[in-house]
Amino acid sequence: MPKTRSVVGFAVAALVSVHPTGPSAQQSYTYDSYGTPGLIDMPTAESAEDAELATTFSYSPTSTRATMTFQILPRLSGSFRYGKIPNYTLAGGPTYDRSFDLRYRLIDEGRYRPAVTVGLRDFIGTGLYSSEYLVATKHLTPRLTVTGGIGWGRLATHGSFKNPLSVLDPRFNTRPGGFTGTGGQVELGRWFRGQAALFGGISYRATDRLTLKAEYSSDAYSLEAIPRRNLINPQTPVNLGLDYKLGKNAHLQLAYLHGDVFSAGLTFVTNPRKPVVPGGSGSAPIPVKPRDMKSASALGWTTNEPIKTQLKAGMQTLLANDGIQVEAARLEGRQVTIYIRNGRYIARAEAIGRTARVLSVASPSSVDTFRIVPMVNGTPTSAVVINRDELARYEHDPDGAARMLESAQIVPHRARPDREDYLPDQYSRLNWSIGPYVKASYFDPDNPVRVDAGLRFSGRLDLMPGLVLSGRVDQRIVGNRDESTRFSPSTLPRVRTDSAEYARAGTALSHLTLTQYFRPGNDLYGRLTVGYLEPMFAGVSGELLWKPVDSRLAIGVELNHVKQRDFDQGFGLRTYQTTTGHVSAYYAFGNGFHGQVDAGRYLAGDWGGTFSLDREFANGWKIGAYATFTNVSFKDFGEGSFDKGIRFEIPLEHFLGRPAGRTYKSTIQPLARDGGARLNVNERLYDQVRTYHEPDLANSWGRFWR
Amino acid sequence: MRLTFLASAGVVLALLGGCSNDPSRANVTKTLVQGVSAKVKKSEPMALPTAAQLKAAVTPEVRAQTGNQPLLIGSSLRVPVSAIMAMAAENGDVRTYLGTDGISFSLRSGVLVASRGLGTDLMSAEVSQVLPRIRAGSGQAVRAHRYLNGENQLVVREYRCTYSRAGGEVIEACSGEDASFENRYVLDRAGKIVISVQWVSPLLGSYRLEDIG
Repeated sequence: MPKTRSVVGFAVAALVSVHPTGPSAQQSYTYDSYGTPGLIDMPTAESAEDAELATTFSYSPTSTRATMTFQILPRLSGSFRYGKIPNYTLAGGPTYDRSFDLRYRLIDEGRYRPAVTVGLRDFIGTGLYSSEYLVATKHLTPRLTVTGGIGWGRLATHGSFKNPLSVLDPRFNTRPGGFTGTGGQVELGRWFRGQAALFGGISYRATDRLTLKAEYSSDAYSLEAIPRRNLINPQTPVNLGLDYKLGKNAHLQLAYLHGDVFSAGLTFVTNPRKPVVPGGSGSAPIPVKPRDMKSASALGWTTNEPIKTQLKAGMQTLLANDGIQVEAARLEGRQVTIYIRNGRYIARAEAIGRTARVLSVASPSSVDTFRIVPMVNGTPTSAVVINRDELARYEHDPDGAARMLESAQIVPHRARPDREDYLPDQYSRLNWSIGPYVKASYFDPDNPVRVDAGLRFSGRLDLMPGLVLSGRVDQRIVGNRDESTRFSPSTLPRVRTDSAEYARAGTALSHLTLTQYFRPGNDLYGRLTVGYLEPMFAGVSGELLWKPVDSRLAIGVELNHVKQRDFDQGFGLRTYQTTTGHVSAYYAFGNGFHGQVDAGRYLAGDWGGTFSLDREFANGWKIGAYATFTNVSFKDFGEGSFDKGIRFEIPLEHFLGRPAGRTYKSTIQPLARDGGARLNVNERLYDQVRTYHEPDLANSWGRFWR
Repeated sequence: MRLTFLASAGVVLALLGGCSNDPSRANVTKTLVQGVSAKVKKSEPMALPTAAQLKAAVTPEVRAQTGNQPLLIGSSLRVPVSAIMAMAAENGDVRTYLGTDGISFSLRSGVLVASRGLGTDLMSAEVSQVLPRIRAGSGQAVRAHRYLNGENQLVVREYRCTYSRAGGEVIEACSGEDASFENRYVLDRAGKIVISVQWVSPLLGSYRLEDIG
């Protein structure tokens, strides 16, 4: 291969002729076939940009892999991977493998010092790709990087030598094989053990789009190369590849592996910190109208009901232009209290800011104070109290957002509006929508991604403030989720493993519930729901939440008694019934991290706890992970040992560029089993309430004046 | 293959969101359609009215329609777009002009202190040193702009500016860490800014603002 030699030759020439430089400001890393920053199969020490979310699909005759990598912190990243190795089993069938990686950058690149990263590849689970590495990467020029590292496990299957760590403890010489129990556990006892080997490589950014890469691989593809599988026949430890930037967020990778096979990959990147339009391109707000002080003492209007009705209608019309609904308003001589419903602004402060400005236009001059009460499900969440004159003073103050936050008071507000303060068209109120839906199920070995599409009919009737009748029916039009024939054996009550049976229903009543929301105390919120709570269970669900407006901590209690629903997704019920419930603690750590612990009884009657940690962004993005441990033994749980998953919440606004209210929520659960399964009741209280409280409300306060 | 097509078609459909009577949801479909049509139209030459044409079109009848409020013609120097905007509020020495297309500019005695509805807007500007320097047509000043970043946090950018006169205009040359720009102001005999070219943000570039009273 003369071409290759010239690339390597050129790189080496460049290597000698240049002076060391500091890290380049421009992005220089690319993703490897494992979907993490790296060369071709080998990792580098580079980290992706903070918060970058990259999805990589890679294909070679040896495997097909999909990997999602999230840069959790500037130094720490995590990956989840789902892969298929063909021709793997004795019978000649493929094997499917889920794996998780973690990488931590120990040392930053300096003028002379390389960046150093320690990584664990496939550190949970059955361990087909299980390996550990310590790798160093240095930019020799802004375009040329060189990488060298030492690997263990799979990364020590070519050119291996005695583990240098064995000087610390002879136990490092042996690496236990296989995996513990039913898989899915952290294989701590294997890390950095057994033989070690060196790997390395260079990457050269030839143009702004094209990066050329060459590596010396320490992966012998031992599993794939055995004659029975015959997926690859390594001729050389050298891999050659390129990365081509297709667009702002897409990269194409091509490589020639071990002088034998070709591989290709596609990487799509997005970053929650970088929406298409920072600050959004939503329309301009109505500017503040300073009040006419000459008529500020005139209170004659307070006894004139027709004028009050007119003023309320004016507020309603002006706010409707901003996508904010007015449920009720109380106009008093010195104070206006307005109860709003905001479905559009995820940055809640923007809804408050727009409402305050409309009030400055639509309130009589005598009014000094605006009390804005955001309502969710007909129930007050808090009140933001704004001094009218300070609103006018800070509108164009250079530091107006900070001053307004200091001036505004975020206070508890428990009481619903008085009957006479409601606007006439608010209760009862019917909302409906008809639209398409897509449902996907993953990880069925017969077909790893199954998709259904159809029409979704949703309806919601707000009968009285806080009393909501809600339902949803999905009608499948096309799809193959019903074709799954896989039966998951389970020693537990089959609370989730029958999902394939439920997926067969062409017309599915997703839920049909009657819910009462209430405020039993100053810092207390309540919910009582009856009906068809979710696709698999029907019954009664009650919840109580304690959340003071200025608290980072919230405590919730939930109790449900449910009966399993029929597979046909109609009104019928099966015999299994259970009582399930949790005590939950929620805590906003600051720095964008949010934690949750739930302890209690799960659907299969098992007792235990769920631990969740999310990174949250003030623009509505959330990316997190959870794990549940119950008194069901890892063996009885089955494959995966315990329930765990990754979850996302993605605001539509990120891609649209203007406020759209809606978010897309998804949880990736590598193995849905019966242990540690929670009821999926709609409209749990915490997320409804917290966004109008501290610290969430203050986090997006920059948009008060948007 | 069938699956991939199905999935991508489905995602597009799911985003479109069908129809609903919920007013807070209604704008999603519209925005998507606008976004797509804007992309399609991008390459076509557009016959948009220029600032001069707009000015000629401001008849007493037009003024009456906007309640005889003071008017401003704003034109982007980056893209051929001009709009007539009417004063919607006066708060101290700041006038806010609102266009029919959901865009506003706020001017403190003629100096731009905020824009809205354009995307990557100027959220606020500290220009207390700037105004006397424009009137003098000489000297130096510091201005501070605030912008929202992708995480809804305000970021302050400072620019150092020098002032000079050339051909009846005052030129304000500013430079900061992330950008350099030049603003121009034409003042009337009373010292009021009537025509100006002012920089808004790195992505939006500069706008020509003409106060037509």
